[in-house]
Amino acid sequence: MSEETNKNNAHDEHHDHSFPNWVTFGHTDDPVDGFIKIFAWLVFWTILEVLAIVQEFDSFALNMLILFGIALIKCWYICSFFMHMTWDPPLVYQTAAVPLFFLAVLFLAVGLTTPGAVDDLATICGF
Amino acid sequence: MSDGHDEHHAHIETPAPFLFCVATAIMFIGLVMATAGGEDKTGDTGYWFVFILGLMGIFTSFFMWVQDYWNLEGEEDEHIETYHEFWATISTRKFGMWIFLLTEVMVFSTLLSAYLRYRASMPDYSPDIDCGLYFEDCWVPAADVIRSHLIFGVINTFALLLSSLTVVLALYAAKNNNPKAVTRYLTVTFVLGALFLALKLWEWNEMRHYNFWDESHNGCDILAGQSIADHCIAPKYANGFWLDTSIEGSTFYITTGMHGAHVFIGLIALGYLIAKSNKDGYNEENHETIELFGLYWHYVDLVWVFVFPFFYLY
Repeated sequence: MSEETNKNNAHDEHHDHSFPNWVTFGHTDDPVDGFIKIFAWLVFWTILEVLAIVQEFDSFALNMLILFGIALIKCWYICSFFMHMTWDPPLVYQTAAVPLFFLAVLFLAVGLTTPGAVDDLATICGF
Repeated sequence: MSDGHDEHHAHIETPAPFLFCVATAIMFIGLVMATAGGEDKTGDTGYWFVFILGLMGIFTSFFMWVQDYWNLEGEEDEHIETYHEFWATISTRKFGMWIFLLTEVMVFSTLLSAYLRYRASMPDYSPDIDCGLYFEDCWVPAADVIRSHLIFGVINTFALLLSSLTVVLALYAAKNNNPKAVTRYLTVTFVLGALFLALKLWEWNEMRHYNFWDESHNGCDILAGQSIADHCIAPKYANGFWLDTSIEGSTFYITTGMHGAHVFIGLIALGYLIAKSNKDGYNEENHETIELFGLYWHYVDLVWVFVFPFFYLY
């Protein structure tokens, strides 16, 4: 293994695990403290999600916005911090982005084949 | 790769993972053919032999795999040897785990998109719609069945989120050379995962045997008014909510079942990690296995972040 490669790996092992200040309510040098605050954020969003849904809003769009919105926010917290993507080298998140293309195809297909939703690609594109 | 390199790194060249995959394929072929094969599609019992053969192969290759790693004192710690430094920024094991997780993303995306597709093909229940005598023409979601016992789904959510935290704490305890704390955090993770599965199994059992409605709901006159606004029992679920009850049941149990299977596999891996931690202890130099397991466990948590609102809240 080359010396250069070893340097890169050393960088991977000793990267700085600092959290954005707004996530941890101020600067923290202790990663454990930071992760506990991430957990607190996840609990907060979960409680908000459940409280919002038990209100039984009539609007489909509002329900979807709440469910998808909060799920995506929680997803961001878990990927960024628990899975270390914030601190990992670009190779990790560039690799993780690959399935996004296939997800887009998958959900586009769901939309295209759903009765009463969109009938064809032209409708989606607004032609 | 040079010989000098080989002398300084332990290499595990075990065929066990390959055998494990082949055995798993054989087991599933046996299971499908035994339960849904044959000319009349009701199952060919002869294939139970193939199923058992696959199962034995899984156990054998699994124990081969564990045994090969059990006596390894350190970690392989082998990095990608490439023609460009970009590809050498993470270890082969970590890169392999990410590739594996990407395939897992597709597995659960398929299940969730199938659910959305089925759900979009039927109108949601509404008093204004003629849903048929048994509500067979409307989508009555699993969330309506679970709503009276939603607290267990919420507890499960917190259990998984907390277990994600404890895995991270185990990793940092290893980095800080505190092997006892590593074992402790991994054990807590195991307990939380087991709690999740236990509650899930109990919940399934209750739903299957329509025990999810209390006394006040048993008197709902659903046939006359077609009102499930107060979460009365929809007629098509009067005998319980199970895999073959309706398409709602199929999508619910297949998706949550697949997720539960991932939790179960995670518990097996955790059992190994706890035993290995007790034996050798993870430390600053030797902690990548916990990090890789953590990626898998966080992914399982991530899937639940989407399964929970899709199936339990809406």
